[in-house]
Amino acid sequence: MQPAAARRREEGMRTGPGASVSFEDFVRTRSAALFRTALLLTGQDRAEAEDLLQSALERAYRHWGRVCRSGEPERYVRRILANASTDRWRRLGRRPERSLAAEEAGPAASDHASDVAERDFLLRALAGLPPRQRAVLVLRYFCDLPEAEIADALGCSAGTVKSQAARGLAKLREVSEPHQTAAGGEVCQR
Amino acid sequence: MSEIERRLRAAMHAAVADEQPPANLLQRVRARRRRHRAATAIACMAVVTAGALVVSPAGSALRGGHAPGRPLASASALRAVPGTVLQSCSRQIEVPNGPDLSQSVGVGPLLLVGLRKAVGVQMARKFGIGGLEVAVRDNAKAWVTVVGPARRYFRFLFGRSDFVNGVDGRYTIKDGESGVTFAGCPADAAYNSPAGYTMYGGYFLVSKPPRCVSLEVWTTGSDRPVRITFAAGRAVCGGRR
Repeated sequence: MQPAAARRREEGMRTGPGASVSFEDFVRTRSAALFRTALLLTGQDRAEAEDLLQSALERAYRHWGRVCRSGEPERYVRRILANASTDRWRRLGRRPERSLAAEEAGPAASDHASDVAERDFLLRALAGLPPRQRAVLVLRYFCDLPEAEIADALGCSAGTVKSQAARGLAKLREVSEPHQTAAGGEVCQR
Repeated sequence: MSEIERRLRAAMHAAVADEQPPANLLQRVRARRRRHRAATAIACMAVVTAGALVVSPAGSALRGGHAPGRPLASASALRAVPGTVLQSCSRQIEVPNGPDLSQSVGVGPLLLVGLRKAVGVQMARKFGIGGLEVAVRDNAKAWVTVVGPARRYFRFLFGRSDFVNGVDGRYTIKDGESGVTFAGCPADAAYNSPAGYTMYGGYFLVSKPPRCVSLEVWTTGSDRPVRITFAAGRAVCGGRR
């Protein structure tokens, strides 16, 4: 698989210090990737993700000159996305954090053998994590960012990124293991 | 990479692989920008009106005591001093995590970021172009003008909304400004990075860099200017005077 960083460079994400890219070109080429990140940050709430992305792009548009001068506009917008997603959840309190208990996983949990069900289960567990932990996991495992870049984006230390990722993964593991065990048990009974 | 990391990565990529942003995203962003501008303009007008009502008696009393050439505008009146270009709230920039202020030159409520060391200049056709960041305390005002020999070879490029395009060498000295007025936002409208300050960013043009550039800075609360000198490019200059 092609490394994500190299892929992003090829797609023109990095413009180089001093180089300019128009806001329109940036939106046209990078909005799909940013929208997918926003979707994961918002727990796959499409309306919320659209609002989040529009808000982040509008803020970038306000200072496009400066954003461009940084040479990495996507990094800047992703930083706004990540921070805005945690702020929004904190401020609006629209989505109370969900319990990760396996029994609340819903109908998907009953289809233990299905990859789709497992994916759905993991994503719901991800959506139930605290926003900060979720943001760390999305930036680390979806955007393939190194810890230092995540720390920079979220305004925290690399140590905090590591601990948040470890906690988030531990929670996901905790809820997915009973799920997998149950799946295994069912297979054995057949 | 552990099993859970691998599964999580695969799940995230598979879940959103086919997702596309709304087709009219750009239009929506622009509409949002227009709404934000309108709201900011209304807020600024309200502040200016309120400020004018409060300071008008004090303003009249002060006018008699001004030194020649001293700008008369109060901090609340968002007007540029003649010959300068105004940087007011709607043009503030946001610096995530705040700028590095360790090499700043401070004059009253104004911080000229990074001017204690030589400011990098990139050649664009005949001229060198460099970036400047300035922080002005919320509600304060500062006027910066080029003085001395630098008036021949240095100009600010803060007035161009499309100054990004300036780096391609489109501008010449005559397109720039010899002075800038920086007005700090009201605290509730500033992005607050750093806290209590409003940030502005722009470019400058300089012919035949490196050069030493002298600036005169007037600020609210002082009745005489402060002159500073900085290096545009790798020049050795006197620093702040």
